[in-house]
Amino acid sequence: MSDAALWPTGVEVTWLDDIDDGQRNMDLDVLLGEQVGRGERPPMVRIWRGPVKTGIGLSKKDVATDAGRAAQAALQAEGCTVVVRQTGGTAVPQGPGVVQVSYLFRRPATPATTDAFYRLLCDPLMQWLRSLGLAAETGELPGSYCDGRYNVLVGGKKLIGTAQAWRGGLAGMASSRPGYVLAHGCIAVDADMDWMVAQMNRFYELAGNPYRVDRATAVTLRDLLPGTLAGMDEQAAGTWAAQSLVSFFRTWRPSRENEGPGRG
Amino acid sequence: MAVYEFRFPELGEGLHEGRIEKWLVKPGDEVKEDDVLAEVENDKAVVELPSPVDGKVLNILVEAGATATVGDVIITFEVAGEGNVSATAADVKTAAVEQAGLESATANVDTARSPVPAGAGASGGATAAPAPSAGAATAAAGSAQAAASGLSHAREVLATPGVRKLARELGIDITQVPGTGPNGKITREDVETFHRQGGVPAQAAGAAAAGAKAEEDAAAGAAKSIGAAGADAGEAALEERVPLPTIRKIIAQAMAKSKYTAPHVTVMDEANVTELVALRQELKPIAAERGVKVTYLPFIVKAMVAALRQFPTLNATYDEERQELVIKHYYHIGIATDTERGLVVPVVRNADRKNMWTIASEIEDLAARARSNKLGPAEMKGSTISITNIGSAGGMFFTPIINYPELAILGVGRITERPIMKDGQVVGAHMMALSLSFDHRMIDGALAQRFINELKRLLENPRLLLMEV
Repeated sequence: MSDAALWPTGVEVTWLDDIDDGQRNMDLDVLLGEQVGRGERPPMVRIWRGPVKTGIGLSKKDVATDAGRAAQAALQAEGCTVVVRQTGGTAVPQGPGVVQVSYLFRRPATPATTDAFYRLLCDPLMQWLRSLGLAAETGELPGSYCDGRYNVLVGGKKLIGTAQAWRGGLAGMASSRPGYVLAHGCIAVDADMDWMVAQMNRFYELAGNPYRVDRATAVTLRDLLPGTLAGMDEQAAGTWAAQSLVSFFRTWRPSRENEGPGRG
Repeated sequence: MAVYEFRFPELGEGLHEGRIEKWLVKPGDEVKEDDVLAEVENDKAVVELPSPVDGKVLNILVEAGATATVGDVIITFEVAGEGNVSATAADVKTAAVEQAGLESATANVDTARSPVPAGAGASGGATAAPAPSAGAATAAAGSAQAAASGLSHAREVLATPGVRKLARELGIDITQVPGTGPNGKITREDVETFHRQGGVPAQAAGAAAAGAKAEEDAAAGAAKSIGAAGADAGEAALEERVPLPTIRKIIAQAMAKSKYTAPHVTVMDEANVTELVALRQELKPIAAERGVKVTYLPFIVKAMVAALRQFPTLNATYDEERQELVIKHYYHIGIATDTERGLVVPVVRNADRKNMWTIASEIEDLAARARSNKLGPAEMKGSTISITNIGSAGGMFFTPIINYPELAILGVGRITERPIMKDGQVVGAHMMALSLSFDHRMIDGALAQRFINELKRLLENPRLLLMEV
């Protein structure tokens, strides 16, 4: 099956966020995903900004241990917002200048791989960046936050992190637990990456986890497009990017001839 | 009642393994179709595995936290009606993969479509207790699969189950079909075109003419595949084709990339470690009290960090695109570790900030977990320079391959006790063999030798090492 065939018909592109409550903002992906799985709403591309209070987003695995939960509490006590997401990987930045794109599709009954969904997510994001004059590629970048094969890199530095969660049973099979696929991209539009990376590393240090993020691997859209974002604060920059992404995704469709680029 | 085996599905392309994060069921649990059995994480995707059947969990065969390989039986169920263990291994695997809504990308099962029933199929109203019956069934399926892989081409094929089915129906060996899709994926059109062209690859026409439809027996299938490979039939019969586990494929790629990219030079030298041998003996009882096993590696790590501080070029990477040397001011030391599955390189992070005891216990912990396959991917990434130790197996000098994109690797050989000349006298000494391979694009021989001289100086005067943090 081509990647494009995984793009459902009737996809709704929605800007939906709760920037005052970081965890609820994150959990909306689950709530909406379950509704999509049950057929209560059409498959959607959710565009959303991170919370006003900056911090980090961890994976469930990060906080699966007592030490992880204690580290989460310690960071929160220090004023760093720490939210937990459904997808895999490690910590990512969170803030009003961090814009996320979540695909919430019904879990396909036809065979598919996570790679297909990654390509289906990274492809348009790279096209969107190209429309802003930036050449992007996908690939691994050791030392980058939440590293994987499908980072979106600009100039060899990480701008977008991606992850997925496939929840529940298979859709379209009269399932008792119709499931959904969440494919998620986290775009560092404007964020104090020095502070964010320090918080991530502090979390892992407190959690007794040897994993560390190398600040030098991260880049923001503000670093890359200072002119475009001039005069905007983090939230304004996030809002600008969210608007731009909504417009982009409302017209973008995967190409049926070309099944997407090769693996990153 | 019968037994149903659930096999680990392919989650991502080129990823033949996944880590089972958590089981959500346990033996004895009743499950319904689509109930979530386990959470698997692979390539940052958390995937819940839904149950393909209604039934009762008999056995969980891969524990949480462990890595499963695509096609491994990970859980068995007792189900009403027919199970799946009496089918061929190929059918079972394809079925499991299809039922998980995921795509199978491993071809070797397709070539093994001989109608061999698994001898110990449990579907015939077995009266044995559930656990042994499941065990026997697993063994039977396992041996069927082993037999199957003996016939396989062990070549990976990307194709959807529908396309595979079409190929089977047309009597075509799908591994012979050239794929025109992305990453060489075989499409329906590819199979149809191949069929129209006679269903044989050009070079194998002779063999295939004598060969057979898919329904024919396994021997004919094997002959066809040997013929297709173009090997002399007599010699080929004495050869064995062994499909590689993922880790071996990764090692192969990494070694080739390093050797083809970085022009390697190796300098070799010996350090007189007589004092170090004595110091280690002294430390042994203290180490035992602390519950730490002290090998020579922690000393070598400390010496290496001290020497790297003096010669930072060796703790760097080369950014080819920008033509820049990227010097790392952190010291993450990769320790090449031999495991049953192959070579892995866990990393002692920030070795400059840790004392010898911490390094010793970290190395012990990393090595133990490497051998039991419990290391997280993050623990094997990000090293800035590596050490490989063949001394424990007995060798002396060798030419280690750099753990690319690092610039150097230190190979540690055996310590031998032998006579040397010292101040005009023949004395006994413990000599450690050292081999340092480096990337000559960035490092010249003289620099490498100066680095190894400093390393020797520290290893020969281990008390200097104790001055290091």
